[in-house]
Amino acid sequence: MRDLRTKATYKIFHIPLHLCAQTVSRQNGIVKRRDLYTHIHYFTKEIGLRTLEDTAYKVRHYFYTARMIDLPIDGLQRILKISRRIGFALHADLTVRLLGGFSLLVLAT
Amino acid sequence: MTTNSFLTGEYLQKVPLWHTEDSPWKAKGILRMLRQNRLTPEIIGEIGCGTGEVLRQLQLQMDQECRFFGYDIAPQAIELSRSRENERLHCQLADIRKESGAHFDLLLVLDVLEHQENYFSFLRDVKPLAPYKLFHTVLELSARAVLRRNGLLEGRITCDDLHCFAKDTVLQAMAYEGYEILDWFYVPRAIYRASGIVSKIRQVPRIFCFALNQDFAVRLLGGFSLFVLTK
Repeated sequence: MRDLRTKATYKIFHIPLHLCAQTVSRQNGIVKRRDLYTHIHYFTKEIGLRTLEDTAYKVRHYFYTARMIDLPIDGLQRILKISRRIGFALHADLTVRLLGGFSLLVLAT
Repeated sequence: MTTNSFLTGEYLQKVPLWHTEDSPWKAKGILRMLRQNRLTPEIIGEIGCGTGEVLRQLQLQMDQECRFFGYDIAPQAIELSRSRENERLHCQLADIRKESGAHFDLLLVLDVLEHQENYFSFLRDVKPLAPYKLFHTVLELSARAVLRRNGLLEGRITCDDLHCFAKDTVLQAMAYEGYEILDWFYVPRAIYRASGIVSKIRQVPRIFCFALNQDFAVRLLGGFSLFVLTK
């Protein structure tokens, strides 16, 4: 992160937010991400933003992207899609922390 | 910009006791692991020894011939360890990975993984230092912590924990780096740390849930840590 900071004035990060209550409470819910996508670090919105700040980035703007609403990968995700859509409309942060399936797009300098 | 709070002294301001108060139950966990696996190490090293209190507690309860060597990169921690040193217990200001000839029967790695920027390379670096490695890692990842806003950030803010682990992610990282997992168990860190009646009453759901299903209680409520013995 520190090495990349000087490569451009503006940097855009897309961070999958794997850490949510339903993933954490399931056996192998997190480690499955490594097997599926070779991901070795796991983030919440707060951890992602804090990591950027700790490595001297200035966060200019961010929003969630609805990965699992737009592209549900299996039957379970298609069922959860409705809950995610309704939950996100009511309370975006809580839905992301509870159900997961979202990512974060961040503009930083 | 992130600076290493262990080198600047900032960590001592955040954690004035340097977790010394946790040393008795950590030593108890280490002795339990050694007993369970019939290990009788004679030379024990600890990376990130802090004030050296865990080593002192072990020395009080282990064979008198055992020798203990603690290493820490924090000058303030080593200063605090001086009063605990003796003929067979030494603490030094050094990064163990850069010490030539450092080799032990057992290496203790207690609450160190979560502070490493790259804990995978750290695991690779310490693997050759002893045939047996004993890890203690706080399991900060729980549904309860994730649900609370900033629940996972508390560790970073209060103790400079850069990573949050669950049992599965710790064991997976170790297996990924070629460690052989010999044994592991949970310890109820939040219960050990609870003081005062209100705080102790708050632990009742945790105790009850843990008695029913250990893994699920840890993943749901948090407040536990993990001892892992590896080769």
